[in-house]
Amino acid sequence: MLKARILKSGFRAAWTHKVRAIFMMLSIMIGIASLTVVISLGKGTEEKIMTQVQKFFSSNTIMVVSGGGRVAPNRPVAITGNLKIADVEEIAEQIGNILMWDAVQHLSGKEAQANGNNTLVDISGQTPAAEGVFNLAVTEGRFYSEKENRNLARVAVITPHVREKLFGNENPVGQMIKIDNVPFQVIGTIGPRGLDPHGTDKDNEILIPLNTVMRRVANLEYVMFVKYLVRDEQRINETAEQIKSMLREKHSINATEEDDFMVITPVRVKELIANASKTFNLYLPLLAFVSLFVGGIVVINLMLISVSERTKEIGLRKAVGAQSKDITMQFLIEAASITIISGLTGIVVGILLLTQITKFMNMPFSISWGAVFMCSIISAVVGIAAGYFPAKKAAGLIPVESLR
Amino acid sequence: MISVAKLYKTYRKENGTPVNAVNNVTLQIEQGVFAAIVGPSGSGKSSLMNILGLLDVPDSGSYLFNGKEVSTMNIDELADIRNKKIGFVFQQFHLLPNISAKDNVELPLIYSNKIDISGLAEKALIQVGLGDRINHTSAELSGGQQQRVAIARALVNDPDIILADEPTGNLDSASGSEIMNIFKQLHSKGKTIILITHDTKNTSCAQKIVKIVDGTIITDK
Repeated sequence: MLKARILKSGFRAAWTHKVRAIFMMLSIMIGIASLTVVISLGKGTEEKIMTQVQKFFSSNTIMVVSGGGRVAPNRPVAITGNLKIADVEEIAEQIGNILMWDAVQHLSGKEAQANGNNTLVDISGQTPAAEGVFNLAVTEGRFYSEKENRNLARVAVITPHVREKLFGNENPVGQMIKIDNVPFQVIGTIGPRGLDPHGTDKDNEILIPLNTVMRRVANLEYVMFVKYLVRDEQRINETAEQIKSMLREKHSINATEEDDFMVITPVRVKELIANASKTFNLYLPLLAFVSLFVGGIVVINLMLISVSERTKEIGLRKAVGAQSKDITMQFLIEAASITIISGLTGIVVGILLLTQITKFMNMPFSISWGAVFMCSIISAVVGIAAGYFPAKKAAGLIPVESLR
Repeated sequence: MISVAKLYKTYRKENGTPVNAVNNVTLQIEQGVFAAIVGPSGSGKSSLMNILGLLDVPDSGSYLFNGKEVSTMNIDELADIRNKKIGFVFQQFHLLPNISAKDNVELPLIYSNKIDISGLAEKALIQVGLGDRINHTSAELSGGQQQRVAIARALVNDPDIILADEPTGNLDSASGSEIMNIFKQLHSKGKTIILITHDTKNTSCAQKIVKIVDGTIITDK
């Protein structure tokens, strides 16, 4: 009964000084709201990346990318050409665990014209195996054949955005399309695939046979990357090692030199994502923590000022019978009630902000309930810590001195 | 009820000079007595009241409250006695701003062990004639009304003693008379009243008058 009365008294006293309470609330609320947003955004971003990556990088995938450790000075990775198609084929033939593969050469920002319309597109030169390796869904017409790839046929398979921009509602199959003024025949269309892990719009691509791209369009000897699918996922790391040693041998890389290619396995992808997510999952929450820490200091300061301002009140409470522990409890309740309410408000504000941010950034809405739980605990701890020192100071005051 | 012997209390001024605020005071106040402690400003009467009201502790001497030695009690035991046995009325009223008269009066009840406190504050406010000002904040009350709220606060826990330190010091004479009438009524109902005052007009109803100068009792009648 006695404690309930003190609890009520402390809670009421907290809101008697409204301006001070509002400042205390703001300082904690901002910290908690930013923590909620940042941690949840981090989780959402990671989930988004993971979903995208899983779409393009299934668990039986090994990707070999041209370039890597031994990149020539001042040359970007993509230009470092050293992955020959012959090597890629030989690896697939010799390593029994490889089920199928596709090699890709990518050219961005090419002009495509058809039907009196033109647009900028990306060209993806891929082998006919792309249909299976990348799980492409042909919606109209057909995908190109091995014969067409071998004969450097000028055939193209287009994606939804290209189709929409160049052909509108017309059926594109059988129509001609000019890519950098070279005519190609549209033989098929594929369904939507969205963005790839790099953020490239896969629905703004034109797929043409790899050999056609390498010999007729770009005159290149090397591919950008190869995607191998393995039969036995359990042996994926072993297979990756085999690919690595074969390529090192073919590229005459000695033991002291680094690879001039990069072999990426699902495990490595997860590592890369974890590394990339560090900013979101470690540094930004750290910043939010600093903001919360500053908020805590503001609350301690305001509570200390409150104790100084209310010395007479403390003296009076003691005069009418408040014991030291009652005064301690009163100030603790004041600080804790403000910080806990601010914390909960911060969580609500954070969630509201998150809905807007994710909407604006076109990200999946995802709340880290762990973060919300952590924020609730933090706000309670900050409240108790912020109230403790002022409460001790208040409790130690001698009634007669406080009343003077 | 109250029996002090050879009490001493020395303060130091800011320049370090010692001031003997209470100097070898020996005094008895029986239950139900209306006592007045009088003396000029700076005579040490408020220091004596703070010790008698257990708001301060003497440097030396003995203090028996209801037969129990209180000078050796810890601060929480003293707080408990103040809550149950003593009601304070101060010259500056010491009401908490921003809260109602009722909430101010309820303050001692927050720290009491009484299980049911409902209606007690209202009853005390009615007793001092403020039944129609229960929900007013102190800013909405006159000086005399504020002091009556303070008296209601002193009464609410039904203490044995009311200790009033210059209760009319901040009031006009009409309000001062009203406040003194309330003390007379309380005394007639059996409360022990200890009134600290420099105004001899207020001592007319006192049964015991203690005159103090420079911390020392010079008359005790």
